[in-house]
Amino acid sequence: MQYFMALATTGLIMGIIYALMALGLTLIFSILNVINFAHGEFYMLGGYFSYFLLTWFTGLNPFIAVLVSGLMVALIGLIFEYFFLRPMHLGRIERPPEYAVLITFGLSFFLQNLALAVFGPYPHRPPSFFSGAVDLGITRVSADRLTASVLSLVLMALLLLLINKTWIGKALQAVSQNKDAAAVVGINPLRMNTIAFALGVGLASIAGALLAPSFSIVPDVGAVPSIRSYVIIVLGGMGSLPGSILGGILIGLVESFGAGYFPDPSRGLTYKTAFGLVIFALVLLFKPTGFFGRRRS
Amino acid sequence: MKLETQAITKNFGGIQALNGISLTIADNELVGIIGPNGAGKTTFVNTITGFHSPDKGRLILNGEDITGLKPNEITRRGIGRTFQVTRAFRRMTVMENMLVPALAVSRDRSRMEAKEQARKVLDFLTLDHLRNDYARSLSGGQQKLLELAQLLMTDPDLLFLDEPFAGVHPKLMETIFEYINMVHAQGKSFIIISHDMPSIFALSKRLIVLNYGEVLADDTPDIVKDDPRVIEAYLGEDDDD
Amino acid sequence: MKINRRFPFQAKWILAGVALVVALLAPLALESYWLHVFIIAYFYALLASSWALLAGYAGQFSFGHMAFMAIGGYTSGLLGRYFNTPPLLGILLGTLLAGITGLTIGGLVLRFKASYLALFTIAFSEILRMVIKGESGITRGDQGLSVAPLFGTEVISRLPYYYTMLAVLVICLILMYWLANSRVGLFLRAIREDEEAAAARGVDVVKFKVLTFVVTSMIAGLAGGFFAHYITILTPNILIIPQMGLVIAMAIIGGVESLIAAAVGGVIIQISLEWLRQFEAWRLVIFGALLILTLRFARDGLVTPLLQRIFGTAPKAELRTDVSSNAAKEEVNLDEA
Repeated sequence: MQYFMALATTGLIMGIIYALMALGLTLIFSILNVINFAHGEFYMLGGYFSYFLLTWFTGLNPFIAVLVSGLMVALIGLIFEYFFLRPMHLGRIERPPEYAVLITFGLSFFLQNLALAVFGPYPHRPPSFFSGAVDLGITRVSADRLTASVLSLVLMALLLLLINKTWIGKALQAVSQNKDAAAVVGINPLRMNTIAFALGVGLASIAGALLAPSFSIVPDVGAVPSIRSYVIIVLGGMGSLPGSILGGILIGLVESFGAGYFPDPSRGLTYKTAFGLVIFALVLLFKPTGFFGRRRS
Repeated sequence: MKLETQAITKNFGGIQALNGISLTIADNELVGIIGPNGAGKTTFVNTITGFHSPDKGRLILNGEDITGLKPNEITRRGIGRTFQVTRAFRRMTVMENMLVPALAVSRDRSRMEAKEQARKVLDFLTLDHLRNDYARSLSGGQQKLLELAQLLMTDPDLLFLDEPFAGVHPKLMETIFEYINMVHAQGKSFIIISHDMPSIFALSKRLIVLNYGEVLADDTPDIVKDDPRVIEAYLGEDDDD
Repeated sequence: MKINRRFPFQAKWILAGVALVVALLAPLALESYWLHVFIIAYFYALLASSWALLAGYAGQFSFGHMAFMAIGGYTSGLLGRYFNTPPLLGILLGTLLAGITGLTIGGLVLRFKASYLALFTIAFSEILRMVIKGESGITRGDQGLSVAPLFGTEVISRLPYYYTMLAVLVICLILMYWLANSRVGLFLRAIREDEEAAAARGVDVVKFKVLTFVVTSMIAGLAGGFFAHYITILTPNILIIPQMGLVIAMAIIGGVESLIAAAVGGVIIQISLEWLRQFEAWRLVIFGALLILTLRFARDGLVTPLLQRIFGTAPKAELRTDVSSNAAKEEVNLDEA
């Protein structure tokens, strides 16, 4: 039972961080109707940026570094959206759904190779937020992961507040529900697309920066987190924000229990991402709309 | 040909789009369907042609239960349809657009035969000279005609036309009328959904009025025209949508 | 019968014949090292053109093509290692397993909209890679699985491998070309244009999507089998996502709606990668940028328009730059007014 609780705790802690990243993907999908196949690379960039900020500016508060790297990546996202996704919504691109898949995948290919050329294949690891581990009574958790999880929780709360309480948030909701109607009441859907994309990749970047001290950064570090996010958004019903938060926590738990109860623990670690694929297949078989699927009008 | 819909019901997230529709369409009928916006007209077509499966009720075609069959299976059984917004295969030539339905419904039809038949149909609809052009280079009206031409390639007994007159100029209207009359004269049945009251009243021999997913009236156009319930349903409705 | 009107019938076959003769005679002029470069280039050409059949004709985007390639290679390699299976039988079984896997995944995913295939296959590919890496007791993981050379260890010359890979490429291209120009190809293009409309015209959409996915997965598996028995060592690095990206770049930059253009793109890019060796990691950055720019500004790819220019046969509609759905809509509105 103690072991069970310990696994549940670590699963929850990781799940919250997964949710933060998936939330970014969901936000982009619900507004732009685009699955960002470069999401993992924005996560990767977040890790590198925070590493270099902390290396170049000694004494910089690591949390400031996380935030700044989020802003830098959001800026990159904004530029990419403006030049490569906006034309799609202006009717300048043929077959937009195909284009969206390929252009974001192409960006992922480009960024991963760019990271390899610039940073090399060797792992980079920024300093810890807090060294050591925290005893939660049930289990001991590394202070870095706990910090990352708590900050993710705070950021998710802030994001939900932004979405539900501010003008921008309401405009985003309006666009996600009905673009034409939103345009009629004076919301510019194009601007909302750009904001959503920048915000979404910013969240991925922050997730990357938060986890960088726990797992080193290499050019392909984003692959597993992005795949996890894909599973989460399918599970959460493509485009539902609460769905992706619960989906993230669920995947965190599944991975933790899966790895913990796998007959051979060292293999369990290899297979824990694979459990996500099994869940993906099960969702498609039994509940293709996901668990929080919303109807699009 | 005999199509029966038995108490068809379809729900979308709590909104009752079709509420127990029971109708029988027989051989060589020319039926118009009208109704205010949101009355369930397009849902009705989509449900019969396999794009939605009904929540309740059954579809019987010539004694066979076809409820829940996929769209391509419905097409093979002789029910064809057009879409409200034309959906030709844009980056394929007009002739290729014609060959897709011809070869899809019949395994043993050769390309040569299919092409010959296609050219006859295209000729009738004044599209033959465009047969080697890409569908996307056609005008909106020509794409509409192309869709009507495609329909004939599957050899249907019942043709569903969803808003065939929307956004069509008078010359084209004539061609479409001619098409309907000619195909109807061959013994085929039509179900035509339209907002264009003069055309639909002139054309159809039987008129069904849908409102809130229910059949409000089902009679000859003359009788329907004076039905007080129909007039009431349309009062205050903006019907030139 | 001129269904495909991209190039005039005869000129197209003359060009293909000339290319084949050049490829057959090339070893006379090539050193052993460049022979190797071309063998690898043909391997990529096969992957790029089969991916193009799936993406450019059927409009289905898989990110798992390299996973099927790896299934072909590893199946044959493992069978050879543990059961002494002869290479050709191993390749056959690997191809079949790739097909069965394709059938399973296709049957599960292709009932849904296109994006689910991309999502599922990228996850499948990455997880297969982790499993191969993790199960190093069986697969030798990152140390590499050594695979018997196709023509035995006595044959040192690369010449037989060159002609084998060329023959595999040409036969598969002919097979795919035949499929693309058969009624199946017609249905696939209709599905790519509009799945619902294709269904309404009687096309069994799911059946033909799955069929194509299985065929292209098997071709990837076949390519992987021959590759494994040529390169003689397999590591999980062959199916990393950037490898998939490279194949996609080849197909898109070549021209995804033409099997030949995609294959030519594969050969040209693979040879350029060798030629640009001194730029090391930056080579792939260049092709990454080129992929993005091609997608944005030249959707037909770079090879396809070139071929069209040579023959002067671009159909009028292909040259239109506007998105004519908007034009059509405007026209309808005008009609109403």
